[in-house]
Amino acid sequence: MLNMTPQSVVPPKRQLLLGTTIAFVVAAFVLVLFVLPAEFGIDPTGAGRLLGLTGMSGDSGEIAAQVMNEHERKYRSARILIDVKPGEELEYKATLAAGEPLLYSWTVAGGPVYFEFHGEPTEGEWPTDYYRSYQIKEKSTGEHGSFIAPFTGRHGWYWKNLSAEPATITLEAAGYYTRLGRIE
Amino acid sequence: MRKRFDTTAVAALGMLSAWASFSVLAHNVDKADQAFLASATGIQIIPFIYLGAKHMVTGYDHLLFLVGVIFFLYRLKEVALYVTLFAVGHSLTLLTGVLARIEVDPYLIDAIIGLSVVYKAFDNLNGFRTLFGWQPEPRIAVLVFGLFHGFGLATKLQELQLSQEGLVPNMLAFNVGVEIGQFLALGAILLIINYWRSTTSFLRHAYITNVALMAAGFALTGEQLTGYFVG
Repeated sequence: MLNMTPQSVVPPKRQLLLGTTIAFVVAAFVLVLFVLPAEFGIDPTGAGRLLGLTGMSGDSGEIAAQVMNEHERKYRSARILIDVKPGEELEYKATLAAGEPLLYSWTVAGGPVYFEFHGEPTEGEWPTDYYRSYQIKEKSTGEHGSFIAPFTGRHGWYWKNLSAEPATITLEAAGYYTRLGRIE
Repeated sequence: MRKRFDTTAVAALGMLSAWASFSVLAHNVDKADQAFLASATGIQIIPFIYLGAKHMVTGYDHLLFLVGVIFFLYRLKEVALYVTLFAVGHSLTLLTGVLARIEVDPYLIDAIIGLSVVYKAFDNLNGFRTLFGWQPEPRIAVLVFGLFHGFGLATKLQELQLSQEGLVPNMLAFNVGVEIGQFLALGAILLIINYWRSTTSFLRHAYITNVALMAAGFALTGEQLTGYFVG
């Protein structure tokens, strides 16, 4: 049967071998210079580091940077008793660098209280009086949780005692904060 | 004869680098989809069809192989035959692989898929006849590579701890999605290739295009083999 449409191009043997070799060499270059550094952190030529490609992969020790945050010193912790008069409002905040976690637990004897968990930046370019609200509850007698600071700043609680009686909030917190206390 | 490798070569390199940057996406079912698959219970026909289609349309190693396969197929009947063979191959191993709980290392499977791209591009250059005086039957080759592809898919789906409830209908839906995705991808590839064939540049650039395809296949194979030994 005469087939007018080609099923392949037929390069001479020399050109075929040349093309195959070129394909192999190009692939090897792309692999060694770009793919291996980016995907596996394998960087024999150092090109990946120059191009900023190493560290893209979760393998090869980079995982530590994603799940851990080593510190020189021990974390700080505190247990603070806060008296809140009927109808009084006040704020307690922890100063945290971006990415630092805070474990917290607070309970109210008396109350309930209204609260807003929020943070305001202390570094960088932000609009005037910017703050970010994380959580608001109209009536609460205590909250427990962990928090990771989205930006460097003061993060904490605004409380208002809704009852006609005095209340006492027991705040416990632990983390790498630089200051924890009342904001006047 | 003037050689005009310039634009095609640039395009091929562009393709390669784009490929490198999308590499992480290859054949992975992404995080949100994983979460869905792991938590899905009961029969979820449409979501699984969608995931199957998405897998196929975004699986560029698979698409590269399809480009190689249909590169010199001019008749629609032939295209249909080869694609059916491929679909039969990967459906068989996808379904039996999941049902019989056969797991093969996905890196090895993907390395073989990379080699399938090399094979097809080399075959398009008549390499087997020129070098060895013999050519593997392309229909059988496409079926065999289809089988490998299905194994890879089966392995990845099993890693997701699918719920046993509704497993078979969900798998079938996923497979239907895979075929739909393949159909869509193929449509797009055919449109482009057919247009390209109508220009005189097609045969002139067929050589360099298949060389580029081979390069992509080699790189893919190398990456997956590295993953196998390192990962």
